[in-house]
Amino acid sequence: MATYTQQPQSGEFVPMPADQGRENLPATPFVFTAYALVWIILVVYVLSLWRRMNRVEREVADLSARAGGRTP
Amino acid sequence: MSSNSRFVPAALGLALVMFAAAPFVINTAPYESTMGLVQRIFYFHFPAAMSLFAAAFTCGIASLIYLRTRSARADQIAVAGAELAVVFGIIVLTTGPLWARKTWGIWWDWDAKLTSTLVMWLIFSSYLLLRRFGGPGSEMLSAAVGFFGMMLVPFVYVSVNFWRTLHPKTSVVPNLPAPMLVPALWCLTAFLLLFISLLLLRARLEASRSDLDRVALALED
Repeated sequence: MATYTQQPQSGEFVPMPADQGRENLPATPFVFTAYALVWIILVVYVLSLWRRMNRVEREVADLSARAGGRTP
Repeated sequence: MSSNSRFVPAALGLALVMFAAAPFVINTAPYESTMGLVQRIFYFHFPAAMSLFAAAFTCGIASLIYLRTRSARADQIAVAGAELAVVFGIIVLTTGPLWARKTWGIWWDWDAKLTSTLVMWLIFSSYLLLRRFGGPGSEMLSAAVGFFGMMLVPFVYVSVNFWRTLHPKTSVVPNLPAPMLVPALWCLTAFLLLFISLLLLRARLEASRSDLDRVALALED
């Protein structure tokens, strides 16, 4: 179980040194971007698959009708 | 209605529910001691990598069956496997650098693990390009490409144990503590359910295309 120590009450704000600030990248944007990318990539792929399936099945139905109702 | 057409919507629906619940399940996991919050990318990165490997194996084995038997069904499954290898490969190759940037301080490192993963993704992309632009007879050549793509999987997986690399070793997953293992298995199940249902859907699309060609030929006759 994690333990937390209480921060001392601050009487002033001390800016973080510039070089240290560059080192401490916040993790949240990376985690959220990764999660969003997973969703976007999968949704785009599923939509593309669905669109292609509809198109091919429509073409099969059209051609079958033209061929005299014969189904493949 | 076939069992296949009942299974796919059910598996897709279940995967969707599991994906939606994933952040809440992941939130129960403790922070990793040195990486902190960013280590949670692991819960998408690792299952995507396992799905990539599953897709590569599916494509490779189906390609081998096609090369030996000329089975149209095997060819359809091989195409589906290759396309999913590319899709899951994109997820692995985008979530990995996001994790690396925070943890290692760099987006990419040309080490054995990352480079071999990129090469494997390029091989399956080549497979799809061959199928798209290779013309008649490209099935045989692409089947050979798919088989060699699969042969890279063991190399990609164990490369972290043999070469000096920044990537975590394969021992990480078997040694996960229970609070981290549960969300990892949750996400792995969601990804594998999605992989199986998309594989069946994509193979069905390829079968429909074969039907289309057959009907078109019948019309010409």
